[in-house]
Amino acid sequence: MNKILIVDDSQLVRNFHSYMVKEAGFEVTTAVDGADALEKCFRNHYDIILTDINMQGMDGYEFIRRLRMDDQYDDVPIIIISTEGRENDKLKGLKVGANLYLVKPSDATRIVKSIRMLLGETSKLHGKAI
Amino acid sequence: MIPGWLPKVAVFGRLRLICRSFELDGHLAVGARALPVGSISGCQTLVQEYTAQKQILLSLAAGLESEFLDLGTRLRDILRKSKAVQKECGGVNKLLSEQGDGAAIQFSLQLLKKAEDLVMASHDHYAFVLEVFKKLASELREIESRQKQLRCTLRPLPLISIQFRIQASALDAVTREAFLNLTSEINTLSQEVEQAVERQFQELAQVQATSCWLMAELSETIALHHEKISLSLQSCRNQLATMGQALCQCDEVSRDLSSQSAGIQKGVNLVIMALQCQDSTCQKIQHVGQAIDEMVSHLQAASSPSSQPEMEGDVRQFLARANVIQLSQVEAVFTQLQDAAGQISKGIEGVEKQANALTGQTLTLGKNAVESSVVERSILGMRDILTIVTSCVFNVHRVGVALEPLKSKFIQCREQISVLAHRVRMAALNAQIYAIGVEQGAALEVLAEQTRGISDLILSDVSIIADQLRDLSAAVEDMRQRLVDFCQLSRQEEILLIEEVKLAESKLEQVRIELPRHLEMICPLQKELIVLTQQATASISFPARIAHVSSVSLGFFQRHAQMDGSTTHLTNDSQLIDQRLNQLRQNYTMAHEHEVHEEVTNSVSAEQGDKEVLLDGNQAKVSARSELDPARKGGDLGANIELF
Repeated sequence: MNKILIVDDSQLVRNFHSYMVKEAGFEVTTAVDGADALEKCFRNHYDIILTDINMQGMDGYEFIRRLRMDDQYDDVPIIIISTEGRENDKLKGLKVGANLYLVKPSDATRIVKSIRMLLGETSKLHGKAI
Repeated sequence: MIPGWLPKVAVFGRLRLICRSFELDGHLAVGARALPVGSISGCQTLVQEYTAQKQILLSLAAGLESEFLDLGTRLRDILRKSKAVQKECGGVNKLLSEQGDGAAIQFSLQLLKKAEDLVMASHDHYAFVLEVFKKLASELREIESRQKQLRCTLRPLPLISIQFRIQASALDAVTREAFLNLTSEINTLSQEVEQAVERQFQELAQVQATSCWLMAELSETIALHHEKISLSLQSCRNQLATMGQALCQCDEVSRDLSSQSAGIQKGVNLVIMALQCQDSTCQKIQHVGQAIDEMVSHLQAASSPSSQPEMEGDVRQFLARANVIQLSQVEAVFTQLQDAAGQISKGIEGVEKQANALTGQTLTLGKNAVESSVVERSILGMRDILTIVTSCVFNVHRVGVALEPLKSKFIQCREQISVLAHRVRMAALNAQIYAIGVEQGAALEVLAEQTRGISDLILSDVSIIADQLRDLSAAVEDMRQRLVDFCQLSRQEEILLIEEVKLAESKLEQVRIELPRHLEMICPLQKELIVLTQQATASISFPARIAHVSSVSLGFFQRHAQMDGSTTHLTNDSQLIDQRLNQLRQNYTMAHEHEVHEEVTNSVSAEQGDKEVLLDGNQAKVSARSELDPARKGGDLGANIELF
């Protein structure tokens, strides 16, 4: 079972995303901000990460930037789910290392489909590298 | 003009008017009140008012979060229940498509057809046997007439025997003795032939009577079977058809239930989507709070004893313009929350409607479940039919067994009378041979010749009877063999039928047990779903709270935005105010807020001749416009996804 880390400072969003992802058959862990997420990432390995951007303490950009510096997480798919929907926000997300940018509110089907797509693509990439 | 701009301009037209009234060359709007910045107490009052506003907004955000969390939990429970209902409905559909009308009933109907065919085939055989027996009876009547003929043939023999005695009395003792013995033998044989024929035909008649009695009994059984099987087949078919209809209806209702559960999930998803606005609105409220802090810090600076009149002027103008920005921001928050409230109430309404519709459907499903007792009757009906099939096969076997002695009797009869006829002929030949050897035995020769002639006639008569008996025996044997073959085949068919009936029973039994189980599961789930939906609806109080806070906050910022911020005392560097306002805007990072600000700013800038410098420059404007462009947005979340 693929392990997913959901990072969001809103408990409501964490609850929704956890529920929909769990229903889709993934193992879910949640983190309240970037710092909490970073700590959890280094304690356990996650197959995919869903993160918000605007968070108190360490924001999503900083979290992704620091995570990408780690060898274990250099190719783990990261999805940003944010209320920020402007082009330059998306570009910034790309620059720091996210694979996908979704704008809130996002429905369950699309999130789950995106997760599956990214997990599939990553395994294909690994296959090619081998 | 980009089409997307029109509605936004309309929405924020009121803001533009406010800004115009405030910005036009420093002239005061009619009835505008001056911001009470000039006095310390006025500043403190303002600080208190702003702080109170901030608290109201933050407490709204906290309340929303708590209520949305609670609603979220309720919605998850509703989703779980509706998915459970859908799962059970799926179970019902699967059961009915695999074991129900699609399989068990069709299978049972095919089975009934097979049983019917088997019973009909055994009836055909009975009919054939009866036909053969009729023919046998007619043949036997013909043989009886042959028997009479034989008696006629035998009748001269005693007279010839007397003639032999008369003629032999004139001869010597040895010859006389020989002829007397021959005469006696011929007489005895003649009697034996007659008696044997008589006895054999009596026995044959008895066997035939027994067989006929059996046939009569079988005919009754056949008639009974025919009636019983017709009734049983009809009843069983009716049961299966009723069950088929009930299950079909059950299947349809279950599909409706499943689709209503899916409708509930759709409604819940709509609500969940709307609830997610809490994240962005809370952030916006926090930004408003931060901006209020900024405004408060300016007020506090202005209210300090060391402040200069120019500074007061700056603060006055800053506050007035900041209030406009705050008003737009707060309006955006409440617009978003009201939209969400509308979406949530629409979604919950849909969920409630679907959940209520489930009640009626579940009741229909329950009624069908009661009717599913026809399954039991169908199973019993099939068992009855199987019993009839077994009985038919057994009776066919009985007929076969009953034919065996009849056939044996025919063979025995034919052999016995044939042997006697040959012996009569042998005796006649011997008499002729003796007669030739006797001197002056011309009379004896004539008598021997007559005896031989009679014996030939007897042989001929017996031969005809024997041939007829052989034909009858062959017919019986053919019939017996056909019945034996049919019995073997029908036994195999019966074994297969027994197995298939077991299979059909197990399939129907599965429907009988599993269907109520699923339905029993659906009923409480549906009730719980209704309760959960009602509780979720009852728990929603945020629209009223939003309406209240919205009226308080918007009233507050509208009041302050309309206040006169113009002053004759300004510091030389007016760009400082712009800079501070830009810093204030920097808090508002979200797209919608940008739209609001840029909308307001653009309209003001257009009238002021681009007095202000935009935070993000043209690129931000383009970006904000592109966000508003419905062609790019497509009204679909799909447009928000970009895979890098």
